[in-house]
Formats: sequence, C-alpha cells, structure tokens
Amino acid sequence: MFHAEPSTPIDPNYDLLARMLADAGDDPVLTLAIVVSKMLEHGRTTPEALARLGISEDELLAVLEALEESDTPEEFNAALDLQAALQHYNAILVEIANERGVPAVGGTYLKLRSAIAAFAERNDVLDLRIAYRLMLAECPDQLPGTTPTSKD
Amino acid sequence: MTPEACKHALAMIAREYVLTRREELDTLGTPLVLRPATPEEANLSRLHQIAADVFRRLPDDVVESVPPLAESTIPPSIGGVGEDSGLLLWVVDLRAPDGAPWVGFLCGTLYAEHEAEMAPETRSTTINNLNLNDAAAAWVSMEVAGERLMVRLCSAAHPVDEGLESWSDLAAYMVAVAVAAGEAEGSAGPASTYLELLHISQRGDDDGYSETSLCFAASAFRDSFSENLARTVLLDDHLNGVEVLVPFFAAGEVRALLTAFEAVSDEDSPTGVGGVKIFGQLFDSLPVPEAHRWARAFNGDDDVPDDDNDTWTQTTAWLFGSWQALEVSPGMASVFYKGFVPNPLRRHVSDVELVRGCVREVWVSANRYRLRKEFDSTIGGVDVPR
Repeated sequence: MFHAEPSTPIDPNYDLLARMLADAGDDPVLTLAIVVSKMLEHGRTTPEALARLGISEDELLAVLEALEESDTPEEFNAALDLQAALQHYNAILVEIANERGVPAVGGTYLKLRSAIAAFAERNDVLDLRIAYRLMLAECPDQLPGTTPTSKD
Repeated sequence: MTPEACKHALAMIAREYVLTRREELDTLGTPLVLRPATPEEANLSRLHQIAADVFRRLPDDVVESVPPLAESTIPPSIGGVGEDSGLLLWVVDLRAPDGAPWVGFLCGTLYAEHEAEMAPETRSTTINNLNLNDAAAAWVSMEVAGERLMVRLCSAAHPVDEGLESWSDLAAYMVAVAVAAGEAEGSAGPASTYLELLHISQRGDDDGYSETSLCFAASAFRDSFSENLARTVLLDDHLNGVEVLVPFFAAGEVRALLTAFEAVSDEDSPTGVGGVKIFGQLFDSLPVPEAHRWARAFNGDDDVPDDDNDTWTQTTAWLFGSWQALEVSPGMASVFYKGFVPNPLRRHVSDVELVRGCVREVWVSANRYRLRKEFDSTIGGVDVPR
C-alpha cells in the first residue's frame, strides 16, 4: 500500500492545485486514486458522492483494492488493467448469457462463462465476442443454454 | 487494457467454474493413509530382517551410537533411551487401506527435553520454536515409555515388496540424518562424514534436483490430472524453481493451495549438500495459539486432540520438514510447511513424486483444516443435550 507523506502546514498563497498537477507527472491516475482514497479515509467524500461523478461503487472498490494490493506504481497499473479487463469481459458475458436465456447467476451461468473464457484462453482470442462466435461454429455443445436462432 | 491483463482476466474467469466443483477437487492428492498392523498381524521376522538390513548399510561408528533394538519390534519398539537425549529407532509395520501391500516404516527420533514441568502454552511455543529452527525434521510432543517428551521425527516409508534393497538404503540414509542432526554443532561426527561421502559418491552422473527438472516435474504433475482440473493448476517460475498453485474450495470460498519448490546448489547450501527447499502454506492466518495448535496437529503431535490424525509421516514420509506457525501481524500467525529434500534422495524419490508428494502433504493438512472449519461453521453452535 502506498503511504502518504507526513502533512505540512499549507501556505494560504500556495497553489496546491498547480503543485498537485505538476506532481501527478507520468501517473495522474495513480495520483487521483490516492487522492480519492485519502478523501474517503478522512471522510471528505463518500461513495455516494463519487457515484454522482459517474464512479460506480464497483469501480471504486476495484481502485481501492488495486491500491491496497500494490507496492509499486507498476503493480497498481497492472491491477487496474486487470480490473478493467474483468469488468469488460463480465459485461460481454452477461450479454451473451441473456442472449442464450441463461440467468446471470448460478451454476449454469458460471459454466457458460468458464467455457467461453477457457476457449478464448486456449486459442489466444482476446475478444470474447469472436470467441463466442467461433464456439458456436466449432463446438456449440459446450455452451449451456439455448443458441439463438439466426434472423437471416 | 493490455493484452497481458486480458489474458490474465480470461484465465481467472476460465477457472471459476472448475474451482466450484468440490467433488473433483477432493480427488486431488488423495493420500495413501497407512494403518499400523496389529502385533498379531505383523510379520516379526520380516521386520527384524528390515532393521538388520538398515543397520548393515550404516557405518560401524554410527551403528555403535544406536543401541540395539528391543526384543519386540512391533510399534513402538524403543532402543537407546538416554538420560537426557538419545536416538530412538522404531520399526513399525503398516498396511495400505486396502490391506495390501505391506509397507515397512522406520522412524529415527531424537529426544530433546522432558516437558513434565512445562505449562501447556510454554510447551506449544517451545515446540514451535524448535520447528522454526530445524529444517530437517518435525518436533512433536509424544508419550514415550510413560513420559511426555519432545521428540524429533524423521521417517521413511516404502512398499517393502517394491525393493527392500532400495528401501533399506533410504531408511539408512534417514537414520544417518537423524544421528547427524544430533551431533554437536561444528564438529562433524561419523554420521555427518557418512552423509558427505555418500553425497560425493552419488554425484557424477546425477547433479541432483535442478530448476529445470523441478519445472518439468511440475508440468508432468499438472498433466496427470483430468483436463478440467489440470487447467486450474497454475505453474509459475519462481526463484530457482517453480510454484504450484492448486485451487481449493473451503467453507464456500475458493482459496489457493500454494506449494513452492526451490533448487539449492551444493555451493549455496549451508551444509554443503544441495537439494530442494519446499514451502507450503495454509490458506488462512490464525490467532497465534490456534496456529500453534494446527501446526502441532499437522506434525502428528499426540498431545493435540484430533479425530483425524493423519500426519506427514503417513503421507509423505520421505520428506524432511515440519509445519510451523510464524507470527505475521500482532496476534496473528501464518501456518506453513517448510521442508527440504537433499539431493542423495533423488535415487529414491523421483522429481514427479517429489512434486506430487509435497503438494499432497500440503493438501492433506489443508483439507483437514477445511473439514474442521466447515464442521464448526455448520453445527459448531449446536448444544448437544447430555
């Protein structure tokens, strides 16, 4: 976890914003994450207030977890990337489940998720939509749920 | 999103489903639990033959330091009970759960301290400290000849009918290690010299365990599972070896079972004899007294009540090491396994069997903990009317 520097008295004429922007350097996302985390820690903002800015509770949790688990900026960015990838894939998998009439909870959904992700991983396909289409063509029997009929 | 992050995310999602199938995971590492034969069943002459064969392989001055076996070698038979410390040698007849094949079991032990006056907490801490500082054996509390003592265990088990020659060699090696460990620090005794010579004589066409051989063995271990389960086992190059990460389903949560293997060269080994360092960890951190209790239970301490007392001596008996508790934050400790397999054992323990046996050891212990945890969380609050 990153540790904040000890606080020092602030000169009223000191341009804190300019200093922060300058310090953000090559990693403004990390700086922003630390600021948000510290504001939450000190009760200067709430998850509800951040939701009004469009930061969902899940996204906030992902950022805080990444911050907590990382010891270096590189690890933090890798953790954020992973969270982003997971969210991206989760959204696609929910769409696919809906198309196949599978409720997005429970064992059947888990099996569908794992089957598509495993196929994608095995064949080095990073786009889950493409992986899904390939599975429909090559091995539809491995997909739980009902294959939607083509509109063509 | 980087391609690496996408691949990592896919791997995580791909493993979610398999991780939840406990019945399949439970088949991993099913231990060969041996049960001691009753005196009526045991083949006395066979046991005497084994013991004699083991001694024949040891140098004379080591044999002289080991008093002869007692008349009966049916468990436990004790020789060499000294005033303060000494070597115990037990020859125990065991059977596999299906009744066959017969398995010989030898356990070289050293007394440490009598613990009659010790408070239970002090005893627990002392035993844990001994295990933290002794890389080659497990210290346990055990009642021997009516006295409660701290005993150092290292052992060897092998299906006797699969080659007495090889088994006796291994057992003799274990005895020599037990004796060498009891020799005064800094002065190499006969057992140390014997082990050193044995090691030198066995080098040449075999350089011992290596990073490459461990990685290869870990891959073979993973491939030995069904396709679904094999996909859940993660391998990761680690230091001079490999980490094996096996998914684990405990009390409704998915945990990872970690076992790491690190090859140590002769030059890097403090004793001059290289081998493989093994590290395994229980998936929870626990309050310190609880962590001590579990570490002692895993080591086979007979002072820790447990319904299911399988120990490493029954599952991975050629492994030198012990379960220990290490404080990781105030009041909380991690329970981990630290072991070492010296290079001369490579003649007896193949690389794949090394990986399988060590993962199995960590699995068996974690499984015991998991079962107890599930039991407690399910009916732990029920008051049984008396």
